[in-house]
Amino acid sequence: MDILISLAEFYVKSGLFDEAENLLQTAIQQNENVVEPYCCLGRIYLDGGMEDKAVEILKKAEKIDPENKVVRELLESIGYTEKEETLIKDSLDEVLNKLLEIKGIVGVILVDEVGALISAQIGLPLGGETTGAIISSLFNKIDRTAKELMIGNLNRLFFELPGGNISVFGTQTLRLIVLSRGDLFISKVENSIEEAFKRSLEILGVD
Amino acid sequence: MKKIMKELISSEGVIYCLVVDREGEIIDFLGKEEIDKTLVSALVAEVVSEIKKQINISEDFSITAMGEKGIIFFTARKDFILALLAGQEVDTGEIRLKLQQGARLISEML
Repeated sequence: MDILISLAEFYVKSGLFDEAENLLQTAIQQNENVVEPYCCLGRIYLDGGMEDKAVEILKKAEKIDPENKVVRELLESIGYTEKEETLIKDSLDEVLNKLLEIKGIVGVILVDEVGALISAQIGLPLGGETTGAIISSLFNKIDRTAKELMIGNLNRLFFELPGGNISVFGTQTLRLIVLSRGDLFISKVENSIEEAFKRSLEILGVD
Repeated sequence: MKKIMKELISSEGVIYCLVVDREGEIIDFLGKEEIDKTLVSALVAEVVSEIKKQINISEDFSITAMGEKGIIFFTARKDFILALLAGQEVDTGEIRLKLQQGARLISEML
């Protein structure tokens, strides 16, 4: 790993940013739980003025090792503090809780494009992380199908299942999953879900 | 079966109706426009199989997938999948209802 990072740093010094990025992305794919390539890539993004990409990769590193000082320092260097994170989390919880107050809605989960949990409010004995990952994976699969069928990017998905319904509002970066009882007509609460989804996008600052 | 399908695509905005078996083989189809039905049937069967695997569901279920340029409706029954392709400007509630009715009639027929 040290050799890979040294090589990536050499690439950066030589102005070969794409090569460095590719090398580090490959290193991450091969060693998902090793923090160093994430940090190195985060630093490259920061130096290149790509703060959004830096935050994204450093947040992944933080999930692997929450106590890592380098990760924390890099995040703080761009003003991403625990306080800000708490504020974001509280705002999202507020939005999701409001949806959960609607009679018939039993769970609300917010995940990113790879199914990683951002926030969940579930009134059932279900794992938000697992449910979110499964539904997001299905969303991705159907999104690919939609593209092949020339109907463009998928933005809404409704599952009518024997035990209840699942509604997903999504973009390429974020998915809001709403679990509801079968007797709730989603069309009646669609606007509230859409509003919550838009608000979540705003809070997270993503498109 | 054509009569049932004709009724399904009579709704404004619906452009194609397809009945496939769980392996993706086409049982019957009817459309207002020409599409690659082999691709649609294979993709629909693949998605249904994936949902069954991931959610571990054995009973009937329905999906509405809304894209930027159109909507796919499909309902999976024990022996077949009924799929509809439509433009964006459709009454999704009406189509979902007609899809269930159509699937029930096809079930009886098969």
